[in-house]
Amino acid sequence: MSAIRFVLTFMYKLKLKYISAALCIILAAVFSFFTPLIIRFTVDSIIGGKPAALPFGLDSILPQAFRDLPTALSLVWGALAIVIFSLLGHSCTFLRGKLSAEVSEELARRMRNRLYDHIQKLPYSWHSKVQTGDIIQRCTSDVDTVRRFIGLQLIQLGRGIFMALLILPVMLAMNVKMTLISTVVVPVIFIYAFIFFKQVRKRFQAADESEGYLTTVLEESLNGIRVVRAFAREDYEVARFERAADDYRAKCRKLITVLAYYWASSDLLCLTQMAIVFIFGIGWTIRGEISLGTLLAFSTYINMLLWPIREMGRILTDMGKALVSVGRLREILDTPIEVMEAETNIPKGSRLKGEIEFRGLSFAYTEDNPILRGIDLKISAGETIAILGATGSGKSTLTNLIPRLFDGYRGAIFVDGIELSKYHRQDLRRQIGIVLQEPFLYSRSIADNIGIALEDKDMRRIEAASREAALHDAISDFEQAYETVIGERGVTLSGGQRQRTAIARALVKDPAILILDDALSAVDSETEQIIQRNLLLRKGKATTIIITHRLTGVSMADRIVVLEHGRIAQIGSHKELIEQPGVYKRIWQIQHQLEQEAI
Amino acid sequence: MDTYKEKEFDKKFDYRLWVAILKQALPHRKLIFILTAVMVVNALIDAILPLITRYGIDKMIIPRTYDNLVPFIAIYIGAILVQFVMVFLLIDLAGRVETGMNYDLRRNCYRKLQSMSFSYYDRTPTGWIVARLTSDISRLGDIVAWGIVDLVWGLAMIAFVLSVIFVLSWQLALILVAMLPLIGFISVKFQIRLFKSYRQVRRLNSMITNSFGEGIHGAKTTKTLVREEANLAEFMETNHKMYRSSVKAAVTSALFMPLILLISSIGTALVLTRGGSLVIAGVIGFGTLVAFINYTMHLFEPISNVARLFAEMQNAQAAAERVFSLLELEPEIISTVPFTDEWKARKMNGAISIRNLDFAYKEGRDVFRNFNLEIAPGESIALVGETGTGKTTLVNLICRFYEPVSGSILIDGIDYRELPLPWIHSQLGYVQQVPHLFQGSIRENIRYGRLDATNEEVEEAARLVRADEFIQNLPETYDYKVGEAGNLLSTGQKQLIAFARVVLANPRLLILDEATASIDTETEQLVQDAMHKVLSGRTGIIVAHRLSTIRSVDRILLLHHGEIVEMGNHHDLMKRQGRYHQLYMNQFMKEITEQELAEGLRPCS
Repeated sequence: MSAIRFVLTFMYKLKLKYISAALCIILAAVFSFFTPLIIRFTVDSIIGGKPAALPFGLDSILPQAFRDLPTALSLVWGALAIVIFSLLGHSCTFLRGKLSAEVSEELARRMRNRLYDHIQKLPYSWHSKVQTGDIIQRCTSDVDTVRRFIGLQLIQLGRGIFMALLILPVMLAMNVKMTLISTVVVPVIFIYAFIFFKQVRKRFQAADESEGYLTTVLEESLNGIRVVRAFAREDYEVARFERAADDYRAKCRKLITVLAYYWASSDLLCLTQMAIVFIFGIGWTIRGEISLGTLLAFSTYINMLLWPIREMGRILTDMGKALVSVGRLREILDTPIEVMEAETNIPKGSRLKGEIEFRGLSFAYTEDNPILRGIDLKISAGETIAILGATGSGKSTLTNLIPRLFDGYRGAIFVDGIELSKYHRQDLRRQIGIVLQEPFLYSRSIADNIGIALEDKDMRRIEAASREAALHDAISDFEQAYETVIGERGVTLSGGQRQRTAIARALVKDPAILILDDALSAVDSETEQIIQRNLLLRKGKATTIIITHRLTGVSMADRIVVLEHGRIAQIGSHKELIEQPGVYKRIWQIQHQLEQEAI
Repeated sequence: MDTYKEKEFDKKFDYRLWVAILKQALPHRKLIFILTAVMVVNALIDAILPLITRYGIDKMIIPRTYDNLVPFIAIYIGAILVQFVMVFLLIDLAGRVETGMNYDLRRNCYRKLQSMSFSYYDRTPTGWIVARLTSDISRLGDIVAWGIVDLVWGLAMIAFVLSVIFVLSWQLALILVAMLPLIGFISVKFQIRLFKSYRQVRRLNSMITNSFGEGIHGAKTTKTLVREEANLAEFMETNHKMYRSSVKAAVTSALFMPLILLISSIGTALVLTRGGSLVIAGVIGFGTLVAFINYTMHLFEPISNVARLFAEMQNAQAAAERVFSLLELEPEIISTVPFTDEWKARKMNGAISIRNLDFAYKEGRDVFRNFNLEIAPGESIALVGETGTGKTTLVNLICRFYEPVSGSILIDGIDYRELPLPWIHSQLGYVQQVPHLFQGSIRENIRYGRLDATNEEVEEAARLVRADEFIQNLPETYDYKVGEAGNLLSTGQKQLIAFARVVLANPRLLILDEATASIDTETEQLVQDAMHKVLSGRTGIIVAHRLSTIRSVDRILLLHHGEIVEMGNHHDLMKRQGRYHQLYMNQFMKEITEQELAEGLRPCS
């Protein structure tokens, strides 16, 4: 029930359309059901000269004038009636198709928009946990399953039921015995379809899985082509691929054979039903119990009834799928998003000073594994801080907390003297430039990537930032320079180029706080020095936090923080730290010694 | 890069391509022949069922006699049973043709891929190839197999129905025939439009999929750049396009059947008017009229079937073009010398001479110009230098993954183009920077080096490279499943496995391309010892960023823009205080930092 309520929340302002679509089905069914009646009337009373026996006493409504018409003329009237009713009926069918498409596509559109919006606003901790492929699957295939169910299957189901409700009384009114004979196999056809598709689902799954495996084998051997070649294992790989392809073929073959049995036997059942109608019908017609027109009408109606009922069996098994899909979508949408409301709004256009203070800050992703344990640190506006520390010492976590990527820390973080939680997240993030070790670039042009945080695509600012990141020359080498598209179908950038693009992207918006999270790890030493020199020129303009492994990177820092197991082990300027006993001094001494030796 | 864009395939019928497609179907000609026969019988029965009804009306109802009841029932049931068999056969046979063709195409494409050189893989994204071998081939097989079904059934049905109705009453038949061109025209127009609309929907759908992918992968970046609203606005635009195209396609499709049915009901009406008069005039029988009304319906279905086929043929042509573009590739490196048993038994000495080598990936962008190098058998050399100076390219050339543009590379004194390619590869061992492992157990991955190695030999190799220790700590030791591309292991662990794999292969020429970059310092010390053992008695080429790993090689070559700028052993080069010295010092500092940080604070003495 809650699944229905969920779908209904997306149906606002669509319900009327959907009801109209349902109304169209009913009208279409009513009209389509008239055609056989007219044929029967025409055949029996006009051509056969028998008195017409329309159900529900419809014949009494027929105007007397119509009955008195000359035969040839009444034939034309009959034909015209067929065309008119057919036109009306098929117009309704078309309208139904149009309306239900509009409703279901709009529903899908709203679902996708909501999902996209929601996913973007979910806290980052959610993104770091989920499997991307699975979420994409939900946002595309599951939405499609719901869309198809609402737009096609539910409508078909409704049509089938309505047809049955409409035709059965008409048939009963015409002849009870004939009706019983005409519907004797119908329930069997329905149940057979229902059970069959339930049973065969496993085989569909097996074929899908086999295809998935084939794709995996293929991808793997293509990605590992160098290994395959280097060990001259081509034959082995060919055999492996062929085994997978053969398995897929076998699974598909099996599935198709089963389906062949089903369609053949289901066709057999349907044809048997038709045969029964004809054999008994002919017998009864000869005996005079029913008219020839009645027989023809029955044969038409049974045709109208058989195929939708066969489909209904299948649709009912699909209903389960739609329910599962709804559940999977709700799982995403029921996850709470980041709270954006805030007490302090940074006025548009104003700039933070960039003063940061951590007070007794502790943080853990999971209860039993604390990452930060009581950090006390005050960074003044415009200061440059270098953070050194082994893997897992909490460097990245500490910096990730500043743009409020994670909540739930203990202690306090102040920016410009105001507690972080009082800021509007997005206002705050606009003032922070953060560059990650493995940056994400959008699959669009390099210029778009660098200028993505800008209101307008100002090429001068983009180029200036890219020069600062020592990227300009590399970009100029590309055929389409700044318009080169990055990504699967475009140029792939090297790790260092990606990092430099991300640096340019952060610099271009001239942030109040700049964080470089091991952002130069893939850049070679010469380029690194250029970037460092450029950063030095900016010094004082922004509060800068540099996470690094290399001592060369810390030379430009005002203060150096050495983190160990989530605590600050050492803090001070380079001069202070080389006077203190500790890690920093030791590293420095070794390097110094080496330099001495080298000279 | 244009090659991989989704091209617009609105071309006219491509004769050559269809000949190629039919050639692919040739191995299944027997099945296709039977399938055709089945379809003809199937259509025949579909066509005569109304005749049987007519027989019942004209021979029994009108004369009011039961005389013909038994033959009537017999014929009817007979027809139904034959139809049962035919329907089964048609689905099963078409399925056989489809799956068989798909399998053959996949196998041929895959074999072709195995003969392609690395330059092809450099140019072609894996996803592109995978799509060709999966969805495109599926589409092709589907359309060929079920296209035959539709085409044969449709044409046979049209032929049968036309001949039956002309025999029944040519006057009435002419009415229906007059309507055929109209139906055919509308059908073809509609199907083509529909096909285009759905292609547009598919294209937009893949764009939406990509957007979702970016939305999740780039979540952190999006948040820090405050791109949520802008991204959503862009997404909504694409999504709206998707809505419009989908509705357009659905409306076109919703219009089609009602239109055809409306036309057919006009046919019915005309037949009824004209036929009614003919019955009254006594020209035709009552049953004939009824049969005729039935046939009006039966004529329109095959026509719309054939029309759909025409639309799908465009689709098939597009898929076929892509599949055949892969199948008809010419490998750039061709091994002309057969890999005979004599070769199989022969061992490489490992002398390599590179003479006047020129090489470029792209014309005008030389990586090497007139490059010369001699490597003695058993010598170990190291290639160092900044990224992009040609170290890996040189190694790939030596492995004959690429061939020189001009100049030559000699192995044991013979130009390697005169050697069998499989022989060269069987004699060399190659460990990559990012080692590629296959899904499966550790044991299977190491055994990839020598497929007939025993468990003892596998473990021996692992011990030699010191991989044994971490393997023993895993839940199922050697049977531990490494996951997709080995992702359940760290890069360092993967490198150790790759190292064991190559040790097991026992190659004459060993190439380590940044093979130990991600192994931690402590383990690396151990691997260094192993490397010594492994390198002794064979030629070794080591590409290294981490200079500490190559201090013990015979010769270090410092490359810069495709040229050797410094050469000598570690000691000599350090004394020279040139580029190598500078590089070494820089790195050493960085390593020390990391090591110290990892060890953490120690009380200072």
